Amino acid sequence: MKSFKESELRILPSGDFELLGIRCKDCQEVVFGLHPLCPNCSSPEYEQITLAKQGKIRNYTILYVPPHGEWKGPVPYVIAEIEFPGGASTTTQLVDIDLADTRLEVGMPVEIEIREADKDEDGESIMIYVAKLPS
Amino acid sequence: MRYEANNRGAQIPGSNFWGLEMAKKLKLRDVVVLGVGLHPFGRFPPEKTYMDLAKEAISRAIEDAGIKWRDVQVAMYSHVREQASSAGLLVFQEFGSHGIPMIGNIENACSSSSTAVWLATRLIGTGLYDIILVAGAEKMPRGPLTSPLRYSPERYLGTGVMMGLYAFMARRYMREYGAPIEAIAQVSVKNHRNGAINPYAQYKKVFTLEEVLNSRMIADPLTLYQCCPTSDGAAALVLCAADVASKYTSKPLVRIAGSALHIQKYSDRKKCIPQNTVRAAEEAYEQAGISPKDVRLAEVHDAATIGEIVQIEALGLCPEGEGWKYTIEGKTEINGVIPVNPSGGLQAQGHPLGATGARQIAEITLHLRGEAGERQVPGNPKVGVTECAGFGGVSTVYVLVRQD
Repeated sequence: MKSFKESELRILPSGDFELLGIRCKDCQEVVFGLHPLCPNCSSPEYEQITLAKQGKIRNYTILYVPPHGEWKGPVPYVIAEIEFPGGASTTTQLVDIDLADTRLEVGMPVEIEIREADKDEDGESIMIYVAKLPS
Repeated sequence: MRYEANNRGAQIPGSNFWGLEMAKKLKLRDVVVLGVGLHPFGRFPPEKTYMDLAKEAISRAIEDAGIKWRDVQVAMYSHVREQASSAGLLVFQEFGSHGIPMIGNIENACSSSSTAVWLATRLIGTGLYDIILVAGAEKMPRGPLTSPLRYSPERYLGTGVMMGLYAFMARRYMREYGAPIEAIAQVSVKNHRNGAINPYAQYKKVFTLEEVLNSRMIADPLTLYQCCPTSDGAAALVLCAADVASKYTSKPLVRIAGSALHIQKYSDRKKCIPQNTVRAAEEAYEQAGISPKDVRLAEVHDAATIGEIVQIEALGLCPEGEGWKYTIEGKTEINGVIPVNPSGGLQAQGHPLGATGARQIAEITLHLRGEAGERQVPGNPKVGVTECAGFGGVSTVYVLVRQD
């Protein structure tokens, strides 16, 4: 397994994963993903951190059209802005939802999981992170 | 070295905006819109190429300006989607290469041609050139507009969809300001009504509020008729130094009194109303020496209905959180207190990405000259603004003032 976006997702040898972020030493902002400078204040003085694998829904929508011609995912599908403790946030797909039976709300807790998006030419899985409502 | 986070970006002492302060020191020349030209927006068969669209818009702008092609001193072109590289050069050379600088593409997402205008006003303002032509044209593929990355997690997750991002905006706005979806959807009703009397509009069809709300759901709560179409079309502008403009035309001169380009900052996500437009408007109004109260009409970026509402608030044309009330009270109609998108906006006129920014400036120019035909904003308006937003966080704002 390997990560589709190594600046955000690190796959560990054990098969477990870490979500990456930075905490700026100048402006104190916690930002999702690794960046050359703090995206908030452009300081180079930051520490790399790992984020919690639980967050909450800050915003969401249900999309009723496939985003492009090669789409293999479900339709309709849900995308959500996920906020992590400390304030970092990212946008990902909310997976495995029975839309007929689930009332989505802002503030709902979610858990982050990894899924295979694709395979590389050697057959190795390329992983992305998704969000899921706790079972 | 200590890095200070601030709310305004690059600053020099005593100023909010770098370019604004330097412009005062340099005493920039005034720039006017000398000519405007459009190819109608719509869907055209494959054999009608982007070159055909662009050539027609440019020819009309040249004629409207009263100049000859050989009077053009710099030519700039904008497109976004897949067309020939140096597409603009192929178009311009149809008119002849008389040894002037030509730029084949100035791309800044939906704000591409408005970014070209931003550059052109500064090239003329500093005195380097008198006459610059800006053209934008597009032939767009059908289907949703998504993240530009061909191979990315976003493509597998389906997160980079423009209308998904607008749906986030709509949901947040509805939560924060208590707006009902009916008020947001009313933007579509108004803009399609305006588009129906605009000969250059892609859609000339009027919809009821029920038809808008009951059209196919795209990104909850945005239905199909709340999302702008994909479009073909072209727009061109001839920009000129004010002090030589009377040599060419006897039409009323429309001055670009304010022009600003701002980018979304990381901290802007804390606000629902787009702060890039707030800053761009603040800078453009200060350049023009006006306040939002002086503005008589606006063309804004309604790629989705919610876009119009948040942008008129960001421009200060109504109080924060009241854009939806202005909309349902009819204040943004052509005969309202602050007409917004008399063209039909992106919703009805269409949105060929590279053409839209120039098209908005052309529209305001026609209204300030009293040449907008059936959709003319009444009351002999003298001041109008445009706002053009784009993927990646860009916002451009222009203040246009008729010289009397």
